[in-house]
Amino acid sequence: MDQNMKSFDRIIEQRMNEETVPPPFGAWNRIAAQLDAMPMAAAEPAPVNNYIPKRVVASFIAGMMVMGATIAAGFMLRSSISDKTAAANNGAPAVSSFTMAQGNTSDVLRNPNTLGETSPVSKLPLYAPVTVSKRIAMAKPAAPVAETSKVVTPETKNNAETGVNSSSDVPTPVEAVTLPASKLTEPYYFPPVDIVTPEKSKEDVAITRIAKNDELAKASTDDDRPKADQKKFKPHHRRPGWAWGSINRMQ
Amino acid sequence: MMNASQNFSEADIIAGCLKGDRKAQLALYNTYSAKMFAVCMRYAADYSAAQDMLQDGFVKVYRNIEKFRSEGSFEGWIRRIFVNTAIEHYRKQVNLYALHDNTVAGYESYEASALETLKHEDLVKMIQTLSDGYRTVFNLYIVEGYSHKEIGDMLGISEGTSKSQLARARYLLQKMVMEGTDKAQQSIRN
Repeated sequence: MDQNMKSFDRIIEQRMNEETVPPPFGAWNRIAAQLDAMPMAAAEPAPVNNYIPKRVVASFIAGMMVMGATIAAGFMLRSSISDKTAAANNGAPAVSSFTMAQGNTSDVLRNPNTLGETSPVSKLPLYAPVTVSKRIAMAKPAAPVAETSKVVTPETKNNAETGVNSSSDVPTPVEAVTLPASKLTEPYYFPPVDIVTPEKSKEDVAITRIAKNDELAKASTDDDRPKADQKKFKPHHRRPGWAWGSINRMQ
Repeated sequence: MMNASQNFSEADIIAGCLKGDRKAQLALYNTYSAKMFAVCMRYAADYSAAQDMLQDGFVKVYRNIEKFRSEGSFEGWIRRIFVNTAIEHYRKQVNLYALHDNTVAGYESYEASALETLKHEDLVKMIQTLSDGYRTVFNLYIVEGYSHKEIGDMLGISEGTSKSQLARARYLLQKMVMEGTDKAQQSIRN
């Protein structure tokens, strides 16, 4: 009897699950109408199951932290080794303090006036104070500072051999001015500007300008000359009577 | 109308229904309406009740499609919605009481061969003739595969009541099957 019952249940289940019944005509229209009548709910998609497991995220974060700590430790180790190397070259103890703004610690030099202190000086190798033993070595890069004091004008350039400045300006030395070594070592040294000597007169400026204009007039008659060249020498955006002054450096 | 479902995959249907795309909704209806209406016909007392059940079921599917998790079968998920809809239709009407005898035996002269030769429409009609309680428990236990404990939780009845209702439904159905077979054989002879 139980077997009979089981077979009955099995047949009923099989027949009911396999068979289909066509829906009534117009059922979809009624469903669509009911959907349109009802307010559309905000259909938020279900969270996708393929999320990243928490342990994967945690391990990733831990790995990034380890990498960051390793990089930072390596950077600090490198900087400390560089400090020791620079100190060994200078014959002084290594600088203990370190800041990121200083960059390469080989550029950090100790102030000779404060010998014994360990605070480093900011990075300015050309103008920073150096020890006495380094003055000779540092004088070479400072040489261009002295050379720039030489007033290079076309007149002086032509009379370099004779040593006589034939221009109407105040005589200026042709030779390079050798500044004292102390001034080379001083930071931010600029030679004083001579403000006594008057500027170039306006007539001289006008003569110069007129001469230039004559040149332009000659150039304009030439048809082969392109117009672009004229624009090069055409003065514009200049106030009348204005000219570059000359700086006469004191000895 | 039937071609709309052929161009949609299950994933496309779900994605479209999430957006409220009417074409995707139509494709879903065309794909599963026949099977779900068969479910509704088993639970409903008559054809019109099955129609209402089908309409309510699909509306619930469209409204709750965002709750579908890609853990099980999509058809199984839709089927559960329709079963729950059918139960809600008769929850207020069903008055299930425990029978005195919980171990009702099956119909004596029942033969399995008679059930196999019976048409599906006739079998469904026989099931519809059962009372609401018998029919619901019968469908939930035999066709859907729920246990008596689960049926009791769903309908708010005890396991014993569920068992007795099932036994009674089985007996009546077997009786109808055999009586229908006898009548059919008599008509053939005549």
